[in-house]
Amino acid sequence: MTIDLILYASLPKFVPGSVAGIPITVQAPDQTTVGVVLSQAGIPDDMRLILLVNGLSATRDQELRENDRLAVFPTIAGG
Amino acid sequence: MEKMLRINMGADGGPKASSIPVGEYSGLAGRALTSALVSKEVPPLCHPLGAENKLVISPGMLSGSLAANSGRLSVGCKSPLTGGIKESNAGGMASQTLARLGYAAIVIEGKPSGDDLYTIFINKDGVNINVDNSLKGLGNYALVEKLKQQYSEKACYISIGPVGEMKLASASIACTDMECRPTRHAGRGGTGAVMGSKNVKAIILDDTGMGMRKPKDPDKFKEANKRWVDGLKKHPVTGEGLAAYGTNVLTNILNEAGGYPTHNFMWGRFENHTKISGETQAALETERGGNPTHGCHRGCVMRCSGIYMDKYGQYLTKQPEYETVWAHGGNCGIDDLDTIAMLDRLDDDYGIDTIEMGATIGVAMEAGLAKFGDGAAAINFVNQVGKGTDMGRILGSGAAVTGKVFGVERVPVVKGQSMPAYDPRAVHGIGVTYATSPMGADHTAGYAVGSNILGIGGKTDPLSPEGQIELSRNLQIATAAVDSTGMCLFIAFAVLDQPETFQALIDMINAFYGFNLTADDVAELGKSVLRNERAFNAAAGFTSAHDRLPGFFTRDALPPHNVKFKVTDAELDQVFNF
Repeated sequence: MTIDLILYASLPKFVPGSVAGIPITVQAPDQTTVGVVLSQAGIPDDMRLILLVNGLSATRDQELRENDRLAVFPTIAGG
Repeated sequence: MEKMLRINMGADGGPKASSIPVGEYSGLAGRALTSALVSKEVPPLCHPLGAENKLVISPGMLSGSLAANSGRLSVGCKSPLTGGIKESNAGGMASQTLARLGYAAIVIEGKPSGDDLYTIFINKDGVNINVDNSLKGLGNYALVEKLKQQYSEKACYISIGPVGEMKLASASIACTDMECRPTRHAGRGGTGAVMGSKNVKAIILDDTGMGMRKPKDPDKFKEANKRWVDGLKKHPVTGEGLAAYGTNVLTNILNEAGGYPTHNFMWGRFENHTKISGETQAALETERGGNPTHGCHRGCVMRCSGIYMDKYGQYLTKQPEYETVWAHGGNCGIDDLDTIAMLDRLDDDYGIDTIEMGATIGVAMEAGLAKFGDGAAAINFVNQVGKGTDMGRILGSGAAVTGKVFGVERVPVVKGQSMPAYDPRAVHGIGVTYATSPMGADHTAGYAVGSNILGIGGKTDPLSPEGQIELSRNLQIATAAVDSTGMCLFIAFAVLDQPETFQALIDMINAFYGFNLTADDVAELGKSVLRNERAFNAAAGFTSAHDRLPGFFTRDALPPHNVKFKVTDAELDQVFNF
């Protein structure tokens, strides 16, 4: 299946050539979890992240589906 | 800070200043003091621009000390925008400077009978109040430049622009920053109009000869402050994230979460969000020789501010905040950072709340006065406000007035104050705060976005009403207390996640004052502030019917999640059941 992975803030540094907010197309077997996609992208397993799949809060254990949009942020805030 | 400066602008023979003991307000500072004084001394039914209203300017409990991030100033009055009580909070150098001069508050009372415009100069030797009609109509930037020649570049300036002089309800009060630029504003609620109604153009604070405020127990204070700074530095938000990208780092995440109000709260996503995001803005600032990492006051370790240069590499404005970038950006369909930065500069110069102005332009665009995305039209609108044309005076009166004048239903306000950059349908917790805060729609009054979207201070579902009442209640109580300490509200990101950092803050206050406060005492302080504010509003005519969002939020679904605001009225009425 195809997943859109979008990295924000400081996270593009883990994927050379990637740019904040620009989707990276990822091919993955069916039932791949968020955590597996993140590991394959080189993002440390113990990093505190904000995860959104199609705009909804997600966990590393969540299974992805075809054409899901996985947006990943480090811990950020402002206001 | 055992004295208070009372200035009667309407005294016989001209304005008169009296330095008096704080008396019954002893131990209070910041929002606790402004709200206690306004609720006790200002008649709730008075006209906000009348002689009976008072403008109260107070540094926080720890302002003027070595405590990191203690430089926030509270400005209180009856609001011309909401008709209720107001505490508007600003960074910059004013809070530290005023505290070091020894004043717990400046209280500006009464009203002069003539048209003369005044400056108030305060230093270690006392107070001078002078007529200076040459300052009439000056923007904040030109004003500060002129006053710097007369006084000192090392002084701090609190001022209003022409919109404050016109007494329009969106007028802000500017405070100068570390570079002596008028960039940090008490923006919300029209405090600048109240200052204008007192004919005060500028307050000049010069703390030459005054040292840092001294704690009662210096050793304990120093040790607690070290734990405090360590706690702020180790948290990923207060230690790294805010410094790297500023508050505008939120654009992308609110957009992804579908809670980024776009085209006057029509949609929850803006297709060109990456063009105006914090990441893009920080890179542009660095490329042009600006600076994305900068503190708004001395002693700030988070440094979420920045310096924005124009395309020629010349200073244009401070780094526009997330709320400003949203209000003038996605909310108006504008995707050009230079246009947004120019709007920020104009707002600061004319002395206008950026949130109210942006929301108002969104309403004006909805009314068909300009097309969404038309940056030149937005700049023209703000210039009209600054120049005081008939149209400008309508727009400068805020989103609610503009909506009425042009027949727009979708006006995102509560108690007459416009909503900031989070749609309550997709961020339910902040919707509860918008609806119920005594301030009107105000994200800082109880920042439920942290738990709803960012996973800070717990985790709640932003699309569900569940748990939002309790969340907003606790945050509103905590915020009222933080706003009384002089601390920047962003310390909450570390405090909510790290109990030991909260303890360091309490230890610092106790060491400074010789108190024995516990966490419960801090919560009680927050509750007492809210009780004062609620009592004032009730006497001013506010009821539970005013603690509601506009009807379209419960009727019209917001894309992309197609959600409505689902917290019931009965639930909203439980927020203040303490």
